[in-house]
Amino acid sequence: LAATHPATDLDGSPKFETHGADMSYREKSTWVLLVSLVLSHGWYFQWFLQDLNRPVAAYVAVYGVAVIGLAVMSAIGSVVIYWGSANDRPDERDRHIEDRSTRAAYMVHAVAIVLSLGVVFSQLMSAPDSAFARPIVVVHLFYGCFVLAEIVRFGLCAVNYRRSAA
Amino acid sequence: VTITNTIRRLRFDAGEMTQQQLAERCGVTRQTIMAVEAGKYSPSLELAFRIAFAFGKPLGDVFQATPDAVS
Repeated sequence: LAATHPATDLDGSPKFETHGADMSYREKSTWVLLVSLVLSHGWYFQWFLQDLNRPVAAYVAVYGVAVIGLAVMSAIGSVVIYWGSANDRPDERDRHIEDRSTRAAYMVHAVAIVLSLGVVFSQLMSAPDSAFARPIVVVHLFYGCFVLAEIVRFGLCAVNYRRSAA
Repeated sequence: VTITNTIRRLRFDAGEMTQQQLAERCGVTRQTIMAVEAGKYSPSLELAFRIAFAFGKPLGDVFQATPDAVS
């Protein structure tokens, strides 16, 4: 989107520069991380949920692929957006948006952890042989809480950037 | 408190200073200047002063506050 020099409106007042919905480097970076995380971990968790009784080595291998995928997608995305915009250092608006989003994501994380604990405890007491008694499933449950909180954080950042955009 | 500003007018009066130029003088991104100018983001007191300094104006000439009606 090309910047336009200020001109005057019909009433003689200067126009806004019409950058439209252009994004700062930080906002684009937020989108890259959000999409990379959703794709890599969405793929991993849907694979995980298909069968909860796989050998641990299978989880390690596929999780490794997901993490490498996350790193590769983030790196490629970062390179692409770097060419399209100045790599500005975060300013006070960036920090304000990140702080607000992190606070909300922390609450989501806390609630999800407590709910997960409730699920694990109830399953252990009522059905100790269920899948929720397996350490690998419990670990994934809590890891899923963390991933959910990160998705909420990046998502809220993206929303807050748009809401405060001119 | 409703905060308004005259950045748009002041940029015009300052030889059509671009938002990018103002952003560089204030040490923030152009998007932040755009958000402040459009009233979508209330700057910190420090940034508000830096914007005023960039125009060589007192703070009150750049930002105006109107108390909201209390019911």
